[in-house]
Amino acid sequence: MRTLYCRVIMLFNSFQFLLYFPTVTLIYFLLPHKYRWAHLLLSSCIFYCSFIPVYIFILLLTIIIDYTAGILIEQSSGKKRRLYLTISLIANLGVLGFFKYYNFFIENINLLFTSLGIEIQSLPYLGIILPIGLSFHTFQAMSYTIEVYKGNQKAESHFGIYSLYVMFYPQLVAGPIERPQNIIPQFREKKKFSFPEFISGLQQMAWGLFKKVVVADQLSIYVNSIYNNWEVNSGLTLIVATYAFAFQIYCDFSGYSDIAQGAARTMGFKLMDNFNLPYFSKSISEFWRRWHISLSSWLKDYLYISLGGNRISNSRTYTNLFITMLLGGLWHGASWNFIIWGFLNGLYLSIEKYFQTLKLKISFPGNRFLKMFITFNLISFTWIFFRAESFRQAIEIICNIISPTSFWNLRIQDTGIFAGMTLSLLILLLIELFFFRGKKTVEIYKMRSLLSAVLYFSLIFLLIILFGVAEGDQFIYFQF
Amino acid sequence: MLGIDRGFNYLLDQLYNETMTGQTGGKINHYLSLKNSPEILIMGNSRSLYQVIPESINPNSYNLSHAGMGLAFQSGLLSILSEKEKMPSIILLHLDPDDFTSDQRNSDIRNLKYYYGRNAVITNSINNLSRAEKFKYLFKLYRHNGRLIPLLKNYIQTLNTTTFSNGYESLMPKPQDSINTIYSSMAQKKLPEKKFDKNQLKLLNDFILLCQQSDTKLICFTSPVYFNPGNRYQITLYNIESFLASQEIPYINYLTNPIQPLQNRPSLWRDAFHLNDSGAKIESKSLKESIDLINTNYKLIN
Repeated sequence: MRTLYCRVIMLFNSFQFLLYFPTVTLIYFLLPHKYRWAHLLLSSCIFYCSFIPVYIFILLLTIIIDYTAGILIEQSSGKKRRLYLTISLIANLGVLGFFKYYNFFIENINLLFTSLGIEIQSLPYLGIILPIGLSFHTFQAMSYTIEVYKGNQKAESHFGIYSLYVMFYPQLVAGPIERPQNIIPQFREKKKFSFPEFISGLQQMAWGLFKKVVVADQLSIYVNSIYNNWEVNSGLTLIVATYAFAFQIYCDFSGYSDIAQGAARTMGFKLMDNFNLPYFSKSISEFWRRWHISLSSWLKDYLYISLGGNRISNSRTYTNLFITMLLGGLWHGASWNFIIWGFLNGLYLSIEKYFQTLKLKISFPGNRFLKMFITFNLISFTWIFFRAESFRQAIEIICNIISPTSFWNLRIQDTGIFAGMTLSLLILLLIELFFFRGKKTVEIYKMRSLLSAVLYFSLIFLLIILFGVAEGDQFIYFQF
Repeated sequence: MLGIDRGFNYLLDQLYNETMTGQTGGKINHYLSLKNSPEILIMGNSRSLYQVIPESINPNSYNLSHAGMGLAFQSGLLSILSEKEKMPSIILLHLDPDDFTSDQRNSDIRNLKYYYGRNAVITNSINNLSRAEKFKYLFKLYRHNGRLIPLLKNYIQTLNTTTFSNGYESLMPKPQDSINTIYSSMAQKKLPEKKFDKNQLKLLNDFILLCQQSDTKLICFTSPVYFNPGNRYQITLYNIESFLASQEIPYINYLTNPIQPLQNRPSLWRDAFHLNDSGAKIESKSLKESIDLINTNYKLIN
């Protein structure tokens, strides 16, 4: 995996968090309601500062701008409203662009001039570290001013509550990207301790931890060993490693979302669902309704629909799909690989849209599973670009996959790790297939009795202690 | 939680102690169960595990190599042998120059985590890896973390085994060995030179000290590779050779002095780094000749 440019201390799978989480939750319920927002805000600041403390001032600056813009948008009318919204968006996108895309932009400018044979002094690169979770909290902040502008949300007058909306620690660094209508009113509600809700939150956290340290981190050992030596691997080995990465990234990110949702739920907060069994999707559009729901719905609501969505000509609809997915790719990182990843998804969606316009209905036994299989493989193909270090590497990996030389030579590497990863993947699939299917993910965490809860925790505990990777990677999405 | 932890740990400890095969502890158990310590003990990673046939060197020898394990693991393992008074007369230690590169993190000691809290050297080495280690081992079951499936497999294999080997694991020649070797050695040309990590010499020094304490003679060696390494290992090998010379430890280096019959014969290799069983016979024969020469010189001097 790319070298992460941060030194995060308060990871959800760290021992520090094992102390931080119960302390914050306990103090939250011990405090009177009127002080709780301050406690959560302070705790969130501590959480954020465990990364690079100085970056909190950048966050504070954008919070002040958006808070003020929200009030001004509400108080004004006509062109002024649009002006204040524009200022807010420029401030947010400016910070995002500077930290995330400046070096990428400079690199490509330098490359362009060199390839055109124009000799210029190379523009300087910035040796800066990306603030953690920048893309997440920037998009969340933008959704606030846009919703205020649209009149769907009242401007928040309490600076502390607004700050908490941006900084609430469970979803601060990797989402879900919340909407103000959902979360701001919850900060004002007087929450009473609910034992079933608390247990349900812990159960979701435990399931998320299982996905991260047992499934994702075991898979990452295999994936890294193959992808880091992609030159010497071929055919089946690279295909298996790519499938393994598909599940690694799913378990890594959805595991994070589960821990975030669970941690919030222990205090009575309900965050939006971010994943809904995406690999059971029967089409690419269905996949995007089930994968990283908070981002895909953000892109749909604020970008795709604003561009005209699908209420216009077919050619414009295809263009809008491409623009949305290209920007969605670029949101993940400043690299051509992410742009290609977005392009491929845009291409898939456009082709799917085209077939929908033909209104072809093909049905045969096993059709559903075939569709799932095709969708999974198309998505897995895009993960090659997501996982590879560079565009060239991705292309060479694809060439190695299709090369007939030793295609069937499957490299297992460590038999113990391979068996462990296969077993944990089977457990995950069995649980998701037989227990979660047909239910909302959240419902499953509501156990009927204390005994079932104890059994559940014991099983997860055993699996984590016996199969968990304690020295595992950071969450992949922290880098975005 | 505590009950589950202690209960399952007890069960898995029983399984572990009865396992005599495999690289998750079974092989160590088997070695420790031998009535007499062998004359020569071979230690190292996969490049000694699959390449050094003990009986070719000495009828009373044992190969205790573990694939993928570096010097931290070897030092920890030697401390177990020393503690259990199972030291051999001679140790033939394989040194992989890649173990001396800066990306080594000594974390391979975690593969001896069953001995955490049971062996001081291993406990200290694991604790030195990170501050969180002590907390992890509050759960006794954590000593079996990541090992359950191999442990069960090796336990069943033990039940079905009547005679145990002397540690050597052969890679039987396959028709695709040649193409794999050529293909993987081509890829090696693209890899950059790695930096030398001085800290690995400290681990080697610990290993030497443990040998000296038990009057065990140490001979180091490095297996050959199929490709021409050029100057990739030049600095590393220079440092290793200088250090071993200062400690008066004999060193057989097949990287700079390749074994002629193994050169340009890809059918004797599994890949660019590993010999198959046919190649292993040639390396073992060459090692025996070198060891005999070292022993003769040693006797002449003394």
